[in-house]
Amino acid sequence: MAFLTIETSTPFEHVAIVEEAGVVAERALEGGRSRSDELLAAVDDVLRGAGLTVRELEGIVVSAGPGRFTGLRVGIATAKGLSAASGLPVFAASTLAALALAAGPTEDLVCPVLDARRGEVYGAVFEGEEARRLTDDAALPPSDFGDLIRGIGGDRTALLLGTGATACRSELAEALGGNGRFADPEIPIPTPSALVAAADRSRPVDPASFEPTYIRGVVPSGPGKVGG
Amino acid sequence: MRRHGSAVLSEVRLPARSHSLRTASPSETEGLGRHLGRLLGPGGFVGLIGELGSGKTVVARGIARGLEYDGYVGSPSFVIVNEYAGRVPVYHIDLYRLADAREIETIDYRGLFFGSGVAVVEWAERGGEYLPGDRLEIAMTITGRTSRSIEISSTGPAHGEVLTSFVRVWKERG
Repeated sequence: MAFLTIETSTPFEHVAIVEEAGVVAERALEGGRSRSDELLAAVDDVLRGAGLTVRELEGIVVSAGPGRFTGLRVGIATAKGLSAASGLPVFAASTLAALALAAGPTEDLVCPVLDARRGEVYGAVFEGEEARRLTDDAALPPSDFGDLIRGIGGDRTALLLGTGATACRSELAEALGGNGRFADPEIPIPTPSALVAAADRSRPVDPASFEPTYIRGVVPSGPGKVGG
Repeated sequence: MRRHGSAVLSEVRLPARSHSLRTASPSETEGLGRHLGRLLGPGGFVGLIGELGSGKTVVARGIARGLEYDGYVGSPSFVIVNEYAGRVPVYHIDLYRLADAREIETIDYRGLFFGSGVAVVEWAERGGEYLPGDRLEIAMTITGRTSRSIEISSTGPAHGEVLTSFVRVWKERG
């Protein structure tokens, strides 16, 4: 039961081979350049590391977003290409659900949050050990995400984790009053095991029509900055 | 909190909102872009507005030169986005072929408009609410075979500062 995992939704891109017992080979791609040649070389590396060929895999689990536009397109196109060549099924993992699962067990609300640029974050709210989803994925200003969390949890402590928790820490902390708890910045990414856990492995996607999770529509953006 | 801070700052030192000028030749028009490019950094956004042939691509080339990119700068009408390796990445974007502002979601507008580079966008008026709230706009009008009337305006405090600096260097240029 080995899966190839591909995670390119954040700048901390990685591929891995995950078996029942856990990760058996993993490779991080430095610099978040989202290059398909580097990604395929990394896939080759982890397969060699695990002593497997593509055809011996059970399937490909790919991070479906929301997240970085180009990263997701490259990661998903790579998964589709490997699937077309090998016949392997592709399973989609919600990036935010995988991030929530990576948090580990906690009594707090789990709020994965990614930097969406233009003064916004991608966020969703989960709870419980199996990361039960309480909201849809959304793109919104950090203060609005804080309000959303408070609307659901009241005074319950909310664990915030992901690149957006680091990038928008002060706004989120302010919106949550004293109820925000920030995860160790050392774990800001959906891990390979969490991706496999977040994917619905009974329902492969149709590679021809499968697209990244984009959150459509915008509200006008606020003041910006130039330089620095 | 920061919002209050900048409101106070702008009362003390009002950034320029708009500046009109004329250029007599394509090289002077490109020079305008070059002076502007030198003042831009990560998060910079310049929208270019004007009919076909008004010189939008000439200004874009100047901005790229000001950002220390010496290679070819053409119109990205068909590819939508060209990226140049300047002092910071320069994203030269053309929205001419967009039928609807929502089609911007087919490009990485979050990364291009709000990233670590400078975005120079032709036919910016087609971008609607996807454009950054704080940006520079350059409206170009053809007044003669090679002369252009140009109005530069800022829509927020950050680019207001850029415009103030530009007006000063444009007046002092040799």
